[in-house]
Amino acid sequence: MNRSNQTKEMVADGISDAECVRRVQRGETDAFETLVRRHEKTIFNLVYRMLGDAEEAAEVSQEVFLSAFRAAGQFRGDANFSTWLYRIAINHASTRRKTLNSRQRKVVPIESADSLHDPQPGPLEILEKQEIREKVQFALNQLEPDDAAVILLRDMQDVSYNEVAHVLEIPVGTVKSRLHRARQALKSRLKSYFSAERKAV
Amino acid sequence: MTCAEVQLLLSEYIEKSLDTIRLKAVESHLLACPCCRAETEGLMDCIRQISDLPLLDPPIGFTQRVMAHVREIETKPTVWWRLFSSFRIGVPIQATAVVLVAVLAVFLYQKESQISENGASRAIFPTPPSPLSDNRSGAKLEEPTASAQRRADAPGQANSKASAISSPNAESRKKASGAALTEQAKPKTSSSTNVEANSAGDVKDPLPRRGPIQAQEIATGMEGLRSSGEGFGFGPTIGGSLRPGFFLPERSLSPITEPTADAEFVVRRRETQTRDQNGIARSESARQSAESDIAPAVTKQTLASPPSQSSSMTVREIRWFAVPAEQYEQFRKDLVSEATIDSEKTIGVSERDFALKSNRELLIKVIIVSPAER
Repeated sequence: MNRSNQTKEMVADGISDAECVRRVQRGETDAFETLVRRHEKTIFNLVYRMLGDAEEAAEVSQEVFLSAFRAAGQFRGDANFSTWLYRIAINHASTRRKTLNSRQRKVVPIESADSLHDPQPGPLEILEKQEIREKVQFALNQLEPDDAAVILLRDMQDVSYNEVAHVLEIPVGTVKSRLHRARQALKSRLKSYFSAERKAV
Repeated sequence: MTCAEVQLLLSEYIEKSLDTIRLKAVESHLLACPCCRAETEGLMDCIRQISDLPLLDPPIGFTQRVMAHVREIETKPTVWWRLFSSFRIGVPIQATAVVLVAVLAVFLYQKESQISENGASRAIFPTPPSPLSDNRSGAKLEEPTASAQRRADAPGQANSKASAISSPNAESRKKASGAALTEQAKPKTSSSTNVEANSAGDVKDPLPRRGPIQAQEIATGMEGLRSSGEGFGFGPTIGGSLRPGFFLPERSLSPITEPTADAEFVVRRRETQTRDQNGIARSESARQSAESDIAPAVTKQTLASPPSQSSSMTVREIRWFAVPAEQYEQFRKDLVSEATIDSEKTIGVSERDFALKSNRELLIKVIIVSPAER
């Protein structure tokens, strides 16, 4: 999963996130580059799934890292840097979502790179999968930002309940109930598609 | 276990985070309940869809762009830093401003007090109520203890007292020189109402007109009595640029407020002049037969009272002059040409320099004395 990839990266660099942050706090700006490289994909995908727009996601992700750099002095190291970064990302994405919702929401373009992740896909299968993902993204966009965030953190990023609780600053019990509620909300939105799919199968 | 209870545990069942007891309870329920089985499948599908979402790579050059902005932030002062720096600079500016204002305030205060001091001095100038001028006045017969204020308050009483204290033969003399006494009493009354203790005697002695001295006479306390051009040559009409002096009678009533003179001269009228004057006085008073008898007696009585003065001199008048510092020498020269200086207490060089620099006028006290009439 993603988290294990992060751990591998951290080991490969030989410096933990906390050490990087300490270096940034000491004025070693280059250490921040390590943090950006380590977390850019996670943050970009989280933001992208919350917004459903790659362009917006790139912009917001950049803002997330710049905010993190500006606030690096406030990072006390009592939580994971990733947890802290997730929180910033969710706040930024939620704010942007509100702005986007207030404007005429764009039709979400589906990523062309998706096919690369599936080994040897047939043309029909590609089309089908793309359709499903569009539906899923559409359903995510319909959810409340907090519900979308909890689903994405838990089911996409495989973040532990404890960490999700830290990111959203809510108790673990609340994370569980909110996750259940969010999943049911997503399921009901995808119901029609799944039922149609089953019928086809 | 009911369906509702099971559905609440489905998320944890799917994630396999249930304890053994609850796991077995849910499993047995799902076997029996197709509805909850469908719900479970739906949720699993949902989770799978999310976890199956492909992870996209961020745009190419994302890190470089972020770092470029980071370095921009690093070199550009942040809002907080700018606020802080402006605050840091602001404090010295404010402190400097406070110091400057304080210095200015002190400077202005000093200037102000100097001005008001000068103003006060001018206001006080017409206050020459020295005991000397009192004693040489026409009311010389008055007992020495009688205060000036009393005289000012009750001039009529003073007059009557003057008559009463007159020597035992005053009665007869009064008869003989009734006119002279009346003449003496008159100026006294008017001076009392105007400015206390002015020399009534001076008024009676018209002096020959002298050339003007280049100085501004502030006041002599005689304005109310003296006719223009009269006096010791220090007429108010001298030197075209003459300014009229202040004259505040109510202030002049207080002898405490007499200003401190920068320079003081005791001058004596020239002998010839004095003789002339006496001659005129005598010829004037010749008509009154008793006059010549009284005058020496009066003078003798007076001589005892001003102990500071030489026994042979009588203070005739005290005059105050405000002379610009640069004209001090000229004033002194003129004074020398006018009269004989008996004694002088002149201003120090350093004081004069200061007066010159601060553009201040010097306050000069001129005590005019005349040789006692024998």
